[in-house]
Order: sequence, then C-alpha cells, then structure tokens
Amino acid sequence: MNIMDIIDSRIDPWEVLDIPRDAEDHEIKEAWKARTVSGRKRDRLHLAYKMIATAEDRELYRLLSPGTPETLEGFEQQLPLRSRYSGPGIWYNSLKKILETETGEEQTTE
Amino acid sequence: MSRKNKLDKHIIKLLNQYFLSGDTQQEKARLAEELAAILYSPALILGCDFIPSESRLMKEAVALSDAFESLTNGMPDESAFAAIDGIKEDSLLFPWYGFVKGVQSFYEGDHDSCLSHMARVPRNTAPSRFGAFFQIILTGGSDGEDKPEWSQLSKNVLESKGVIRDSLELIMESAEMEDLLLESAGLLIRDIVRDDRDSAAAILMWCFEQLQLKDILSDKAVLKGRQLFGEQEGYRLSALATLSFDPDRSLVFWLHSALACLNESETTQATVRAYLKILKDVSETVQSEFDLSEEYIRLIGSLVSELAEQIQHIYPSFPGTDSEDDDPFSMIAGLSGEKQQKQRKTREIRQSAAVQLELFAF
Repeated sequence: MNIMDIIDSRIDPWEVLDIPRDAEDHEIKEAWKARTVSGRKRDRLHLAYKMIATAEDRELYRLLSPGTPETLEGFEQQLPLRSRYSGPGIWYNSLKKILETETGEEQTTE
Repeated sequence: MSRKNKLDKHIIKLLNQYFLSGDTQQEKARLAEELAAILYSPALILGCDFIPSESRLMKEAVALSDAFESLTNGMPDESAFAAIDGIKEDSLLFPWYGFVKGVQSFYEGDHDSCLSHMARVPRNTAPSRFGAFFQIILTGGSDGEDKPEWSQLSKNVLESKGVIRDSLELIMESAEMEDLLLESAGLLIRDIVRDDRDSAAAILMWCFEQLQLKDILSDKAVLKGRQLFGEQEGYRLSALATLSFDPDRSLVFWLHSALACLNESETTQATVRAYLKILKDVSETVQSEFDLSEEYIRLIGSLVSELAEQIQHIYPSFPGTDSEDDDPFSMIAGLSGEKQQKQRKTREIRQSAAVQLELFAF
C-alpha cells in the first residue's frame, strides 16, 4: 500500500477487525478471515487487514499516525479518552444509586 | 447520628448471616449470591465489627479497598495489588477483584484489557454492572444501560474534551502569529504530554496544520515539536504534518526521524523497514514533482549515507545488506531513473550506502 492510501483511509484497522491492539499476525489473519466469511464490508475488512497484517505494516501504521483531522469537531472525536483521578467514592456511589433505584430502597436516617 | 440507608442495613444484615450463621453450605451459597448482587463496595465490610480482622474476608476487603482507593487517587499501591492477586474464585469478593483489575487497565489506557477483565466479572454481581459503563465510554455501545448515574460517573472519571477544544479555539485565534500559537500550544501540550502522549501529538499535528494553512510553518515550529516530543517523535510528527503540503521538506524530516530512532532507542527491523517504505514513497513523490536544488540533493545524500551506515552498524546482518538484489535499500534505489544512474557511484562507500545514494544522485 502507498503511504498516502494508509493516511487517507482514516480507519482504525483494529476496530474494523474487532481485535485487541496487541494481536499477533495469526490472530489478525484469523479475525480477517472469520469476518470476511460473513460477506459484509469485504473491501473495508481487506484494507484493514492489509494495513496491519505484519509487524512491519503495524510499524508503518504507527509511524503514519495520527492523521490530521479536517475540522475541530473531527479533531475532538479523534482525541483519545483521558482518565481522571477522582477517588473511589464516585464509583461506589454510582453503583449504589443504581442498586437503590432498582430495589426501591431509599435512604433513611438512623 | 449515623446515616445508613436500607440498602446498607440489608447488606450488613446479610453479611452478619453469611459470616456468623451460615450453617450449611447451601445456605451460605444462597447468602453469598444475594450479597454479591448488592454489595456495592468492599469497603462496607470494613465497618462490620463482627468480622474479625484476621479473617480471610476482612483481609480481602482491606486489600481491595486499599488497592481501589490508591488506584482511583492516581497513586497505585503495589503491595495492595499484590495482596488482591491472591483472591480466589470461591471468595465472596472475587467479582471485585476482576472489577479492580478492569479499572486498573482503564487508568493505564489499555481499554481492550479493561473490557476483557470486565467480561470476566461474574454476571449478576454488583461490580458486573460496571461492564455497561465501560461499554458506553470505551465503545459507545449502551445495550439499553445508558443510565444517568453512568453519565455522572463518566464526567468524574474522564477529562472533558471540551477543555482541550476551548484551548484549541483560543490557539486558532492566534494562528496568524506563529510564535504566539506555538507558545500557547506548547503550554497545552506540556500540560498533558506525560499522561496522554497521543492527545498531545494530535494537538501538535493540529497546530502544524493551522500554521501550514496560513503558510507560516517555520523551522521554529519543528524545533518546538522536537523540544516537546524528543528528536525522533518531533521530527516524525513534523514529517507527517508536512507530507501533503511540502513533501520535499517532509523527506528531510523523515530521514532525521529515522536517524534519531536508530540513535535514541532500541529499534526493530520492522521499524527500520517501515521507515524505508515511507522514505521510498516520499522520495518518489519528491523526484517526480520537484526541481531540486544542488544544496537539497547534497543534504539528502548526506542524511541517506548516514542512515545506511547506522543501519549497518546496528544490524550487521540486516537482510539483504550483503546482496544488492534483495537489499532493503534497493526499493529506494529502484526509483532512481536514467538521469540518476548516470551520476552513480560518486563516492567510495559500502555497497548498501551506495545503493541508497543512487536515488539521490540527481
């Protein structure tokens, strides 16, 4: 593939093939074959496979990333999620609220 | 006056029964199942004075609470993580072990691993509910589990992209003034580059794009990129940003990046080959579309020669370096046309380096 083809494709091959980022050559090939059998989006699947089939292909993709988005909205979408440290309480409380709502058990004061 | 709600009271009552009066295995299993479905925090166990501190359940609850607290505060406690690795599948708190591992992956930015850990949390347990939350924020899928609590949680545990967007809008307002834009972008990038290199790189690319659209991307911008990301990445991002606008300039940056890669870090043959593939494609474009000055040709020739020597130094057995036929550089050399062939072998250098130079001996 020409490098401009890779840049212009604007696809995430791992996402298209539904495989983890650390997938090995054989896992990538198996995923490509399995999904191609279903008959949908063959061209896209084949493109995704060609982009990351070998270690060299994956390095090429890495070196050519990130692409430059055309709009600020596109850029915002491209930004990866950034986690924030906010302590354990918000996790526990969110789950508690959901369970309370489902069980109908409201807060009371002792 | 202490505040406890019905759910807390119910959980503590069940814990009491589970720990003190679970006479039969069958009864204990029933209580465990009921508890696992509503125990919304292992920290609740810490307040149960009827559970001895030396009991396995209390020790696991302490380890999980400590591990999770340290993780969500950004200061992972390695000893607590070592302790939770001992939690077995038959433990009441085993589902929380899987959840904490999932959250650990989330904070490490390994989203596939996070989803994988969450998929292994036993179903119908309280922490398994977080599986829907991670599906929503990491894959965009909701499966009808798009609850307001998850929206609230995501606002608390994810940085708002709006902050970066606002900063970029401000930066764009200064796009006519390169120095000001670079200064503003530098501050934003420095703020996030340690924790989130991908976003920082995307921001630099965005800024380079804005400068190129105004036709003012100077070497100062490239220098800023190198200062922020190091030689290899700074040059690579500069090369990528200029690829469409200025391929001749991009070729120089790609060569610098490849050299820095070989000088700075442990690299692989796959990386070297990927660089060579890029160099081949870009040089093809440059040769076909530009009238190149003698100065430019000398610069490229010098960089290519240096690159060849570096590769041979690091990979003496790099496939093909002893044979011109399958020399990896030949894919670059193969681009040299008749014009180049006439001027070949202008220097006495090793074969592979000579093969490369053919390309640039315009």
